[in-house]
Amino acid sequence: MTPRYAGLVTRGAARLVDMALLAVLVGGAGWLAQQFLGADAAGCAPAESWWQLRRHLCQFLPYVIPLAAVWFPVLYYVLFWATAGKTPGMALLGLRLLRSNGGKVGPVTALKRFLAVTLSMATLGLGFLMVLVTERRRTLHDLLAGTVVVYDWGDAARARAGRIGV
Amino acid sequence: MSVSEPDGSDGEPSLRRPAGLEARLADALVARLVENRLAEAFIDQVLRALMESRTLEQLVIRLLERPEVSGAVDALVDRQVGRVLEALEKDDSLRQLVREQADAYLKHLTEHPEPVQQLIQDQSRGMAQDLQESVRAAAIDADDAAETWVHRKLGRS
Repeated sequence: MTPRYAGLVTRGAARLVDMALLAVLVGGAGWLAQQFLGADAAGCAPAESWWQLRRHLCQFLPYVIPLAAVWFPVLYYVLFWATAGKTPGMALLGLRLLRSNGGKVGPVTALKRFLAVTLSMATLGLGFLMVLVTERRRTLHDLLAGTVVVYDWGDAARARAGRIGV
Repeated sequence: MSVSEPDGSDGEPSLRRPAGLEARLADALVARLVENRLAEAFIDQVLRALMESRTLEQLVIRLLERPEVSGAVDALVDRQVGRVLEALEKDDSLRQLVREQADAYLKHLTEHPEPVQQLIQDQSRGMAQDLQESVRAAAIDADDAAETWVHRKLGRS
């Protein structure tokens, strides 16, 4: 059965859900770091010996949130795309990421696609809007990474809805 | 004597309602029977004897086939059922029985809560699934609508 390719609204909604989850993750990581290392980086006691791990790490507190903000999205998207073929947001909206030949996405393709997303953002969103005019509803990052996004509700839900030919 | 129907219409009073003295007698008889515990054993014996003989069945069938008797029986039953239920409501032993049964059910549910929990979980899951599917379906419709709008603006088919 020919898959149905996902459109702008569904993909945008999935991305918003993922962004909200990432915000919670990054914020939560920052809060946990502050609880563990101390609320004020300026008030960190200097480490006198090598085993005083908490004092050593306390110096890095100002960098925790920026680092989390950079690395969490990479890990989040690449891990979910490469392992499950979908992020939590995509799962909620019933989407699946596939290679353009219909195969499963691997870690390299997932990383390539993540980097390509930054290009789509750099075009002020035009890369995302390409989904409206391209064949198989592909964005700029889909074209660069060789991927497609299809509707995938799962067998049970599909049987109930009876409307998606994935 | 004319007796109005409960809905305000006039029926055939002499056939459909036991009126006057008969009605009061029937009310008093039922009240006594309900209130008097000694009568229970007597009624039980009489009913058992009647059930064992086929005479009662034949008699009842023959009586109910006569429209005027059938109407009178309906009216009598209608009139007395409410009184019997009312009397039962006031009966402490019945209350006690209901309370004991309710306690037994609650105890059983406390000891074996799995079916109820499963029922609630299934219900919640079903509602969440319905919501999710309606959101997905709405998003798909919006996808198609957005694409159609853009294609129309661009002059593409």
